[in-house]
Amino acid sequence: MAFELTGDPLADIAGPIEELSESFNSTFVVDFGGGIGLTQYTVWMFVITLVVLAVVLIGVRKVQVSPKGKFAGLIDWGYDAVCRNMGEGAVGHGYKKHIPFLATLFFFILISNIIGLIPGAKTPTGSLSVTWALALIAFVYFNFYGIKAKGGWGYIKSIAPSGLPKPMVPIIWFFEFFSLVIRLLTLAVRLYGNMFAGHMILGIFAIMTQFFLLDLIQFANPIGAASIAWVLFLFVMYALECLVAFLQAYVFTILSAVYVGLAQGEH
Amino acid sequence: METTFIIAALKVVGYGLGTIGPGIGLGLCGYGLCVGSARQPELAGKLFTNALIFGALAEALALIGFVLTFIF
Amino acid sequence: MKAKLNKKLAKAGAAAVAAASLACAFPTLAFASEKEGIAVLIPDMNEFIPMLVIFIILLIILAKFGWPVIDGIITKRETTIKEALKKSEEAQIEAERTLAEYKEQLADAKAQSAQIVADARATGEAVKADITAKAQAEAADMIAKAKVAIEAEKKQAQAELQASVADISVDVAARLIGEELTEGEHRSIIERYVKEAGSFNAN
Repeated sequence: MAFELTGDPLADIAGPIEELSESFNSTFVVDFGGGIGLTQYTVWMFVITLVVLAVVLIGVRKVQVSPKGKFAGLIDWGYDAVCRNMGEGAVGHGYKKHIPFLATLFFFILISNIIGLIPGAKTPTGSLSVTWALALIAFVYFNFYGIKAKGGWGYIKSIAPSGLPKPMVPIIWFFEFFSLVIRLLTLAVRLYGNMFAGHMILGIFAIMTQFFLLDLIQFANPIGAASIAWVLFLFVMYALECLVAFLQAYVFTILSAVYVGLAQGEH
Repeated sequence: METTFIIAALKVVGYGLGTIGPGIGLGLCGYGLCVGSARQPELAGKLFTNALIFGALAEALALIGFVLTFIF
Repeated sequence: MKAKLNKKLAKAGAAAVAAASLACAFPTLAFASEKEGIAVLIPDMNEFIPMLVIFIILLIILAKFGWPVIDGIITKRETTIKEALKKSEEAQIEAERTLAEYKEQLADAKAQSAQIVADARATGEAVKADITAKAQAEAADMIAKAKVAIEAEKKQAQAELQASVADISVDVAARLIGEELTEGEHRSIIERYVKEAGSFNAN
């Protein structure tokens, strides 16, 4: 981390920012050769999977009929939120069989985001490939249940909403079909963008604080006093990132639930 | 190259302009949800589901803009 | 050289402005990566395939071992509460019914006891009257008997007295006369006196 400092902070941070942006790349931790290997995101993904398994499998043993204990209460409340808020609210009727999928999705993304908040850890959802996999699973899931509920041709016909005058149906159908296909892209990019950009912002504010302060100390550049503003921004953005961690997990899961509900149709 | 710099700058400006519409759209979506829930609290669940659907539709445009910044 | 520095500055400046304005959710950094164009969107197979596989394994494990346990506990909680409510409702109804029954029995018992008391009183009065009447009859009986007995004794006493009057009068006469008389003399005395008395009576 040996960067030579000139007196101008805006010039100094160019190098560290380059390094920061490269630290978000999928660098290989274990290289098996031939372009195959474990990237840092894959390693963190294994860690998160183990944590999720531990948390859920231990937590459900501790939940009792009359609740006691904080950890069991958390798991109980999270599962209850998935059941009632997302299940009954978003999916509608017949929500019981979708709850394992939704609950697994919710807990995985939530724990992954929270662990990514720890300095030095990377969240696996900060990589587009990982969120692409999650979005693909959700996409295939809701299309599968839509086709199962309505039959192949019925599902394709139901993409355009009912109650339209005849000439408009093809046009509306194309737009609705495009909107359906774009759901895959938006689910993936929403989660990836929030996580990646959030951590990038935290990194940039940290770098700015550091170099403005260094320039103030070493070169007595008065603009270095702005480092206090950067520290405050950093603090606020960290709080916002904590909120965004929960929010993005919730939004991903409840959007998947809504898509499943829409695909199964209203009765 | 100068042109790469100009293209990079234009990408940023283009994305920034493209966020105006979805921002306003999502704000209106949230406004409708809050006012509707305040007028009839018993419909809050259904209103929330609808707000999520239309919010996702509006946000899709912003996300497409974000992705296009990377592609071109 | 200057162009490269300019490019770095432009990128840094763009990132700083985007971050500082907080207006958009994602800052656009065209960072130096090996991919250009649409290849940015194609997922990296190094991460895509492990994620798919691991998520499906995680889903299967949790759907078998994790979620059914907590599901069972939540349904058990629901049924316990429902049953407890139903039982308490039933117990309430039962309690009210028993109370009504007991009240009815109490009223019955009171009526019965009042009846018994009245009966006893009436019987007592009757018995008292009976006894009094009997006693009176007995008393009257005894008085009558006593009267009869007294009459009988009086007659007896009169008879005895009459028997002794003659003797006493002879004694008195003997003392008056100063003589002792025999029985044959008695009779002649008595006859003489009766004759004299008769003659006086003829005057």
